[in-house]
Amino acid sequence: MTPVNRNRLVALGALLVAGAGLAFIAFGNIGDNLVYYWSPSELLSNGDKAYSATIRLGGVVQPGSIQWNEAHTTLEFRVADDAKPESKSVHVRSLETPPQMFREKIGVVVEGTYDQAGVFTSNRLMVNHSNEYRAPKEGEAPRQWQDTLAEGATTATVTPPGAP
Amino acid sequence: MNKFVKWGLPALTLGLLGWGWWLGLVWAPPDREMGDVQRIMYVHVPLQWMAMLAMFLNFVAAVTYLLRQSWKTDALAEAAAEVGLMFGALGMITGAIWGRPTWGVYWSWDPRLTSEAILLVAYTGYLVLRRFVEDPDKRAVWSAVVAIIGAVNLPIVWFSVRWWRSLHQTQSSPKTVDPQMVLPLRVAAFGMLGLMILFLIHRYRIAIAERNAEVALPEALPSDDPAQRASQSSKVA
Amino acid sequence: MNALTSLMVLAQVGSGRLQGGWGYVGACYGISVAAFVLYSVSLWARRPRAASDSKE
Repeated sequence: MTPVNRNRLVALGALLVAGAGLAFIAFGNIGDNLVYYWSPSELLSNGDKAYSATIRLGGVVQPGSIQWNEAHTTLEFRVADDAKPESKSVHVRSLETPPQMFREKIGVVVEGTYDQAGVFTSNRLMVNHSNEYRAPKEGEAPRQWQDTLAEGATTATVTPPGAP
Repeated sequence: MNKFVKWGLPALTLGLLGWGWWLGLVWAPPDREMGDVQRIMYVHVPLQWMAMLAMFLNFVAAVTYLLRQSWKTDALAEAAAEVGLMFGALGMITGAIWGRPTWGVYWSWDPRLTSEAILLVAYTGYLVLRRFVEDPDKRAVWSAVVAIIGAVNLPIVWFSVRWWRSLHQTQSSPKTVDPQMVLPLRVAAFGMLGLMILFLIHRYRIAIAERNAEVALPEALPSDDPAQRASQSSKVA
Repeated sequence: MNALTSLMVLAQVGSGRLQGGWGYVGACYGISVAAFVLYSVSLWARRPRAASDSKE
């Protein structure tokens, strides 16, 4: 066999291997086994399996569910399948300061453990952003948002807007 | 052509990149939610696009090499892998920095980030393999095989955000991005394309010079450019 | 006092808006430009010595 023909066979073989690998990953059931996070309804429907292991729970912060304790050290909220008020949700307790973008109806992924009492204790709270990028609406000034919200309360603890 | 590569292309690249980044950093509005941090998009996204493009070029060059042996495609594959790896690594670093204020973490093992990490490791492996094989002919064939199999990662990285649940958002489109943000992104992407082509050309020249110096025997491979090869090989011999 | 603290905390986190962060932006652009410069230097250092301009 000439080197040229051999190389063509090599090319064919490599392409076949690559194609098979891709097809396996794209159409195989890898997605079912490699789940980055569980939705609240999935977590609730296999509760026993979910206890005590470190897992991730992903969903939307249920409107009206965000609560801080007196000292503002503990944050509690409910993660729901979607933003509808009647959708299934899980009670989450977090001890860390959430990212600034945390709010009602935003997508979050929490890492932690789920206990028998139905409380998910989060060690890590992540906010996930959608693929939308929008300019501020008429009258909105993102850089001044903080000042209007915390009128009179802007002290040293509040990070100053770094905009020049 | 040579004049263009030497002066025109660098000027065009700097102009486009400077204009695009000026548009992105000064002219474009901040995002409603992300504020000014969203401006990272104008460097992160073009970097990732060009990384993907360079790595795809590496795949095309590898297949072409195996079908029709030529040091040109082998050199192009080497150049594209190195440039792609550099852009990809920068894309990952800028992505991690962007992740800290928005997600709250620099890194999480979500499908997009994990597949991107595998992609970068694969192309690092490719370049290491090329360093370790002495025989240029064997090196070209083996690395072409690695390049073809490694290229499987490209569609996986691209579609990871659609196939699986991830922290990283799905691809944006002009529909989900305001026009004042699409323009800087486009300009910056063309600037980045110019930069990639510039890097590729210069890296390719290095690779082809190395190949010519390595191949002492002119009959080892059918020559692409007999005059050049003859002069090079006589120098080596 | 309590209302004040809660307002401050809300201002920091509950707003759903990212404030500032130019440091992150600067780091991204700075690292990228620095890497481009370094890579250009490395390409220049590795340039083919013999008749580099007569190629192609």
